[in-house]
Amino acid sequence: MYGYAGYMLKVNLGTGKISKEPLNEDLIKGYIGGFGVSTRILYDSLAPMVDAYSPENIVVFATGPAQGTLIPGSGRGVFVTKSPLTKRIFNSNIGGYLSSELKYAGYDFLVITGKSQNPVYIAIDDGNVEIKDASKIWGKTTYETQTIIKEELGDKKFQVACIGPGGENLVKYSAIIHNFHAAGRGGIASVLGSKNLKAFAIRGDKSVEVPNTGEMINFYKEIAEKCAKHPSLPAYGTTVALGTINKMGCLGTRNWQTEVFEGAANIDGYTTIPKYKIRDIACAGCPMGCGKVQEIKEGKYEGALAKGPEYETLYALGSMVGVDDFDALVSAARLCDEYGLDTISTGVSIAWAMECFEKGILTKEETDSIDLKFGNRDALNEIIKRIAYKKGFMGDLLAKGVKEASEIIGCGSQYFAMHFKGLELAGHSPRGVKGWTLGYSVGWRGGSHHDGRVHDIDYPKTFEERALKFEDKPEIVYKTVHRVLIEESLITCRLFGGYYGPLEPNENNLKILKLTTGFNLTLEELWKIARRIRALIRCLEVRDGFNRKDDINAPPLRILNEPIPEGPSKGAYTKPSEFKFMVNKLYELMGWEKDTGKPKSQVLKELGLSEPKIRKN
Amino acid sequence: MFIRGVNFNKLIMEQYSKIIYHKRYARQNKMKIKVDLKKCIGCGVCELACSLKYHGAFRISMARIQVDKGPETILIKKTFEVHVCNQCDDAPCVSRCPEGALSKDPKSGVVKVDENKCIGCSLCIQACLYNAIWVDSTKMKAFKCQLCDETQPVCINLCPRNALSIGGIQ
Repeated sequence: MYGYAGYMLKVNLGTGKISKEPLNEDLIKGYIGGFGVSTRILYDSLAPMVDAYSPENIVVFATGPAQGTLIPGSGRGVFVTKSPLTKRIFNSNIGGYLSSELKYAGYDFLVITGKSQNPVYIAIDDGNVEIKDASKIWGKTTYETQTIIKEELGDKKFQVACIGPGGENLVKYSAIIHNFHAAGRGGIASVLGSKNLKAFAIRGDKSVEVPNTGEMINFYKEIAEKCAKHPSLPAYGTTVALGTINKMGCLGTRNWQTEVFEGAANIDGYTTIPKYKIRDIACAGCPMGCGKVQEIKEGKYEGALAKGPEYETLYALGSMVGVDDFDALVSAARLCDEYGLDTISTGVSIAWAMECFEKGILTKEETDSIDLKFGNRDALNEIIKRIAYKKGFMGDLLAKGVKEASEIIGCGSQYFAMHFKGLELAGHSPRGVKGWTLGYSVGWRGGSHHDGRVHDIDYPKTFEERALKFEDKPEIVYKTVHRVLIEESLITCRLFGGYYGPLEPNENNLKILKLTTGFNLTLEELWKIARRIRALIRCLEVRDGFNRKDDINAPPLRILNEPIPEGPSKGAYTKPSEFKFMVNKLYELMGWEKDTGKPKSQVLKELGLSEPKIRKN
Repeated sequence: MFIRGVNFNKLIMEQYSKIIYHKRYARQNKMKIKVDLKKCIGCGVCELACSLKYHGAFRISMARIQVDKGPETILIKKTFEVHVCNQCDDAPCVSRCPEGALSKDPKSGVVKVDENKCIGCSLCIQACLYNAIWVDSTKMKAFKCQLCDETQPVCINLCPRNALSIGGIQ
């Protein structure tokens, strides 16, 4: 089968049973691969309302047809499971070489179920799969773990994905780390931690076949040429987005109290890259090479080395917490990598705590005498360590994520707990780019900047078009979310949105599908697959008891009540009436019932899906 | 402060042994794939292109140029490691081969494998300090970079950062 390895690997950690199953062709025809197929796997084998940390929860590591080939931007894989933060299905992407290696080992999907009694790791050496004891590496940081496992297995060619102390201690937003890359969001690592799975290592010897190698090489060359001409990504990666977004007045600063950061120039890529960059790195088969490894060579944080920090990290551990000291920021990012924490959620949680501290809601007694003021760079580094080990009151509190933490503390701190559906808000303004309020709210992941990826479309527009106009946003969200689903199923990188996108499912997606699998689909068929995946995700949400109310109540109150106080986007915010209009319009486009948010029966029928069983509490 | 759990001595020794070896052999060769490690981004496109050319499918374990992509190399050495044949003059793999399957082409300077003679004994792998020769476990034949038999090497052609070129001393 072109484009696929053809097998699914199932590992039950409870019983130790390892099985290899051939891929079901209907599944591929209906859902392509990657996130699409994983959604179906979860829908079929997960009971409703299962807790994320229950042994019954399933973690799928999925690849699509693009992985392991020369398709630019194919170095991605996706973890799909139920998130402890959002309590919904969650897909968390990871770059690097993990996904292509899984295909070379002969599997498209790795499905992990059950819970092991002792710490273990899974070693996949081509056809041989073993569950090995990990008691010696339990507690080690992510880079140590990767090195030790490779030494133990005696081959540098193994690609290792592991969890750090964050995942082991069930920090709700802990990240899986592979190489310098992270499956950051949604706390997937803590789900592995709850299963006592420290890591998995993959090495493969098999081949991935494609129907027409000549055409694929031509396609690669065409895109690689475009990449080389890109004005910022190959040279600066995502680091320069910070300055651009700050100039638009859309950069979340000090827990979104404002959206202009006075220290942006100090941490922006144009300042830091010439000074600190030691080299570029790329994921498998990628001509873009957006990863910039930066190293602090002197001062207090000497030796801190991290990939990036990427834009989202600069936002979360920089402007959000008011830190404009690049040395401290790199150090904080490195600590997050070593402990296996999601930088976005970590930064947003700390920013919330800082605002609480400055407003007197949290006192020094509760912060364990840390002076948790905005801009305190040492406090930032200290608190990250405490979160990873859930040390002290503050570490334990923040490790729960900002939603739960604000519910525990109360005193009106929910007003500025910046999360959608439990997931901390990413660095794209829902006020300055109005479409995002809708994108975040109706997206299944909440505060992820990949569900209704509107900013690719809206950032170049004028202030009036992006921040004041709202009538056209539902359509943009409707189109982009379906493209994203196709890209997550083929698995191509979102940074190639400019070449493969940027709006709706299109000819480029079709071309990639054809080059890898030989499938000859029409645009209508592609749209139908995208709609099927979206409807199935919605069915999963409905089955777990979520409905329209959860979408309407998703935005943080600050977004719906407080205009941006200063800067180029001054005065912009999403009025509740506008928000309701947008949600209703999007429901209409999606074919969902207005009162419950369930996909309409005729839509489900058209897409070949069955009715979800709704549980009433 | 940040680098832990990595065996420094082992990595440093590995590097030294290579440098000593490099001084002895590398200056003599004429033609080989030259890698500019400053430009390499570790994307592995060279591996993909090479395996596509020789196997008609993507199979990077069978590529004749291989990249070490682990984070430990970046953390310690700050570069990737690319393994590709140095086409040494006094090549240890040639002298070590018990079957005479490896030979240096006097005209082009390329070290070539004669698959009819090779028995897959792996002695050449032990001999090579560049880690740039491998044995195909199914066919039991050694394989290595032969500069695409004097055509334009496909890895050079597709490298997105122009990190590869044909040349002499590295």
